[in-house]
Amino acid sequence: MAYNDRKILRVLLDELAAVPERCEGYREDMTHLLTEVLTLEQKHAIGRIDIVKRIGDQVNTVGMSLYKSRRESEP
Amino acid sequence: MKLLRAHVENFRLLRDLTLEFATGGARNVTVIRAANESGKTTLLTALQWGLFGDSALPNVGADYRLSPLDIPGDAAVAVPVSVEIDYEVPTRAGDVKQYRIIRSTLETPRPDGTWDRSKAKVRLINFTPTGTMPLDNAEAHIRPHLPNDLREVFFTDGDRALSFIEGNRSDQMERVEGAIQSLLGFETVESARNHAQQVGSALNRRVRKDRGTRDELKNIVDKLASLEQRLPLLEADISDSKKALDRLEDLEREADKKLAEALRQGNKDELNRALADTKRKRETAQRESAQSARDHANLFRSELLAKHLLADPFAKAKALLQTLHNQRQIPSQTIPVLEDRLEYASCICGESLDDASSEGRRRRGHIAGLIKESRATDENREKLTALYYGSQDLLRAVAGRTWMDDYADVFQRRVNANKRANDYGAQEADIDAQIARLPDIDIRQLRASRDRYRSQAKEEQAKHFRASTNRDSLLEEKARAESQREKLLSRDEQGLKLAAELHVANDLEQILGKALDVMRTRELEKVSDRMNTLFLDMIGADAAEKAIIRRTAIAPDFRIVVSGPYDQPLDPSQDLNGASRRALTIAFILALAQVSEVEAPNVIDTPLGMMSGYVKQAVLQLASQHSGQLILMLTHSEINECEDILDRRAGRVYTLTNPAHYPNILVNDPGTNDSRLLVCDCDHRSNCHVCERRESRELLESEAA
Repeated sequence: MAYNDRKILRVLLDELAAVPERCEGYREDMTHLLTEVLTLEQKHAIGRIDIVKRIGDQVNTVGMSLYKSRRESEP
Repeated sequence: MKLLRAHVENFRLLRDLTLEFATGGARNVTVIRAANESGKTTLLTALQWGLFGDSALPNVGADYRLSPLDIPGDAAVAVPVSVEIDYEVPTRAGDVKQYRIIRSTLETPRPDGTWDRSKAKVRLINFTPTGTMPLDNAEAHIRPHLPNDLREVFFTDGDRALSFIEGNRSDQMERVEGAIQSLLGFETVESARNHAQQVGSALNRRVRKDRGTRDELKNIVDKLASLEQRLPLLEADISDSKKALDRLEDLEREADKKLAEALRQGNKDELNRALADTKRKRETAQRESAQSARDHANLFRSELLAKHLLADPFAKAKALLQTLHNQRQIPSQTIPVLEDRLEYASCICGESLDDASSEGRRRRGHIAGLIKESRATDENREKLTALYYGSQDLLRAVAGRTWMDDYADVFQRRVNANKRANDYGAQEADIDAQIARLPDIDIRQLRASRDRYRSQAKEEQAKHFRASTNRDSLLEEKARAESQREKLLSRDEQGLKLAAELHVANDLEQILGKALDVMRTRELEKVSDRMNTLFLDMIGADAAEKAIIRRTAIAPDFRIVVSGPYDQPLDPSQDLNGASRRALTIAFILALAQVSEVEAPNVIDTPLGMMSGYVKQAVLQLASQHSGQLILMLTHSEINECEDILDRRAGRVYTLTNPAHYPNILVNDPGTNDSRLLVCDCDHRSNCHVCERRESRELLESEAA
């Protein structure tokens, strides 16, 4: 890549620090999500993929994890 | 990305050339030493064609022949042209992947000097530990590593590099913005944010679908969908109006410049007014001159001149007449008295004049005789009397101004009037010549154009402001609607699941959006600061001292600006000398590569042209320190004074020689008549039988002497 994706990831993670920890491990899940999104963008640049669906799947995974954590933490 | 090796075949003068590039550590510089007309620019073009295709050729290759120009057209032979480049790119895991790109075509020169060229083929091979693996879709594979926007950052010549700071302002900004966006990865983050937005919209549609019987949720979801549809339109309006504003400001600046230039040459209207005024003054002066000429002539007919010229005889005449007057010879009074007496009967002495007496008659006869006698002598007296009285004015001594005073006055008046008439005439001719020299420029039209652009720019500014305000209001409304949607979703299980997903999608979109803002501001500032430091170091400017150039920066609208003392803006294309302009461009390219932390090659043709001494050495030193890989195409004179730096930094040095330079420039016969470049391994200090040049031998001889 012309750009340095490790550098971009650093900038993204700096911004992630400002997002509330919605459940235990949420930021960790988001870190993984951001890395995946960058990888998908690279793949999309080389050969078109259904990127919205693929990112949607990743969002769904983190969303379900958030939902379960919330349910478990309910009294 | 780093270039490892290049092999060029039948690309103009480069019949068969293989180069390996220095890749790392302290010796990251590759030097291609070549005199003028020895293939530097051809090599730069060949490398770019290999990596970017026809878009990198002059005029997109339309009138650029690739095959050697000395291959005759009548042979109808198809000439294979190819460029093969090996390169490596780092992976996220920290290792590297090696690739070979081969671009080739067949070109058939025709007898009329034109040529046929087949569509170029591109192949990309990945070198793996187990062998080579051809990759499909080579262009798509290589483009993320080498976006077109970065071509001028990676591959540049001394003149073209200036496109970042010279020429049309909106083009400059577009180039700078394109390079920064590509190298800092703006486009990737922006694309990811757009995709995250689309994921959010898809989730919103699912909420609408699963809303059950809750109309309130439907309304909120519809509102959000509508807001999401309007948002990109407003963003597009903001971007369009910004571009239009930049363009109009450019046009206004251009029109203002043209107007100033035209006014500097002269304002035709003002010159015409000045011409009419000067003509009027000349005509007045000419009338004054004619009047003074008449006065001058009249002076020679004046009584004063007579008095002036006949002063002595007049004085004598006056004295004579005065004597006669004193002796009562003039005026003559006898005859009137005698004639008067004859009217009476007695004389004044009392004797009778009675005509009846004989004594009276006698006396009367005597008086008549006296009258007759007096009449003969009085003719002369009368003339003298007339002369006496008539000449009183003429013979009176002249008091006060003399004829010479009058003459001097008239003469001076005439000289002055003539001088003024001549001066105004010369001025008139000069203004006429200025008007004739003026190009046919309508100042009023220029001023009207400038004012029109200014007014349109103001309108566009207002439009931009309105669109930005609307966008901000829309974002606030969207946040409120999202919060409402969350409340409504939390009422059932399915809603809670969707709410969790929406949270994630929103967080993702926000992180990407804020990162984009940070990259556009903080990262841009870093590039700007780095460029400033490098540039001031290169030109040896000390901002604390009396340097003319104090600071350079990249403005938020991606303009490269230069400031002098007291933050006074300087125009890089006018206020910087050639060496400083090149240094500024190189500083920008190096700063961008450094801040983006991208390992990229910098291939620069004649970067040190127009530079000498400190600036030349500083540019080379800093470029070699701060570039990941530096490939320089240098003339012998550019290398001069920089040998010590190249001793330390150059990992590979090649010398290209054009055999056509024998015998004028080359010392030895290269033994070929082909139009092809010869390559040898001579470094920046040495020469061989092939590359030895007359000036180097003369230099050695003069040093020895």
